Amino acid sequence: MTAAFARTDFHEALKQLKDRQLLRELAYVGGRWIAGREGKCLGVRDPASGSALAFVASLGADQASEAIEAAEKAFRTWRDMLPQARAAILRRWYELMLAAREDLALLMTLEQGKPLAESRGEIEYAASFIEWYAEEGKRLNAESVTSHLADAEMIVRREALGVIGIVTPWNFPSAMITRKASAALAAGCTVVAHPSSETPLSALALAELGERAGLPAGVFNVVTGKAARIVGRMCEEARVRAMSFTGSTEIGRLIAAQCAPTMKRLIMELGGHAPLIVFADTDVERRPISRPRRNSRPPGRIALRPTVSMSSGGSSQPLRRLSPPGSPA
Amino acid sequence: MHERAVAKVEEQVEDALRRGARLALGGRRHPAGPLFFEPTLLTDVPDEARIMREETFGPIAAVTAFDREDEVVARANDTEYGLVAYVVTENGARQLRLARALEYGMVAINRVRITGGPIPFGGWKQSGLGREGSRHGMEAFTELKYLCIDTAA
Repeated sequence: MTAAFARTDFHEALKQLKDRQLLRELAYVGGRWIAGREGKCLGVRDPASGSALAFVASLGADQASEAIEAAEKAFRTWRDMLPQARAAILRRWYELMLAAREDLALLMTLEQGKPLAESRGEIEYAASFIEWYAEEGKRLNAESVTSHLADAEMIVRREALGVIGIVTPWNFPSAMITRKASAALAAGCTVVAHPSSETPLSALALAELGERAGLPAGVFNVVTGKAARIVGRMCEEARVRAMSFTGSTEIGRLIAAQCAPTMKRLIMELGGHAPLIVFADTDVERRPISRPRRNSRPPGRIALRPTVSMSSGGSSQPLRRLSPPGSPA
Repeated sequence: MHERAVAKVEEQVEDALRRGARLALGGRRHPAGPLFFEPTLLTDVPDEARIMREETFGPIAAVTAFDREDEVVARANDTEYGLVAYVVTENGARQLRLARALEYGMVAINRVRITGGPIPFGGWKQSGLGREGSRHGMEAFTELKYLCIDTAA
């Protein structure tokens, strides 16, 4: 079922979608597509043109708790499956993502603004994590301990944590979800994900594909809505055992503080300020570090983007290489 | 992408110029649309400039010179961030010295494309906690349980 909301605009580019069912505007909770209470929505805009793109369900805090409830219910069964059974579902999810590459890239470009070639690259990158974790999940081992006590056998096991909260930013709307979720799912955990309100469509499309791949109801949930409300509730709830967040250090601190009362495990990917240190011995013609490639990333959107320090002992050759031809540098 | 991000980029460029940086390229909004900015190159950017201290989400490169290895390492480490550092040099010993000295979760030598499923992605200091990708990313979602069984007859 697709959106049940009245639409006054329809973004022309959406007509290019081969599979209209990948455009999901309802949230995905407990294996069902649900609307926000009182029909509340979030508007999603195309940043390149400013036009309206979609209206996505804006859930309340209590609905976030429903998702956590569903994830908790689904956890024991998912965790107790043999690892290769979970792996087979993840593998199918990976294959469905690649098959839907064009549509997923289109949705991403429309909601996020990165060029289409860039979006395709991210879809492949995002899918590669699901493939990796489908395999890694079969190799979750821990070590045993040589006993220091007589007549004692010592075994150390690794067990799935439980319900994992995932909060992702707008800059990689697909890869941030898959990198976190597939690791959690492979370990036997279940997931409640809150995508950035600026770019929720990629996450919802992933939920649609996950459902087709056979992820059981409640195993992977996408709760769209205002971050303060949804993420706040996820932090408060003791049933969420870990929060995995990518975003600014400022918000990371806020989430950490809100998670302290329930002593949650935190996995945080926060701000970066990457130095690029270029020494004078470098032959920049042979090593064009800044040369754009087929799937090159626009410099502005990534925490890995560098600021450049250059050895003054060298020529200005590296500087020329950074600038496009014909520029004053 | 939104207006605030573009305004922040503009402020960072202005701040750098006010502090003595030179504008080699770009520096203004791009006519393609309200959320577009020209590819911009700033040189002689002082360390105290905002763009050297804050994250920037825009197509700006800020360049500064250094004379000595220990000087540039100290400047690179003088931050509460520590996600990734990139080093370009053909000198093998220097590559390893820099790799050892830089306080970053990921160090890239002579290449920029370094991430993917098998690798632990993450930063030092206030760039983050824990890692994603690799087996570490999966172990992050598990608990250890220690079991001790008596085997006396």
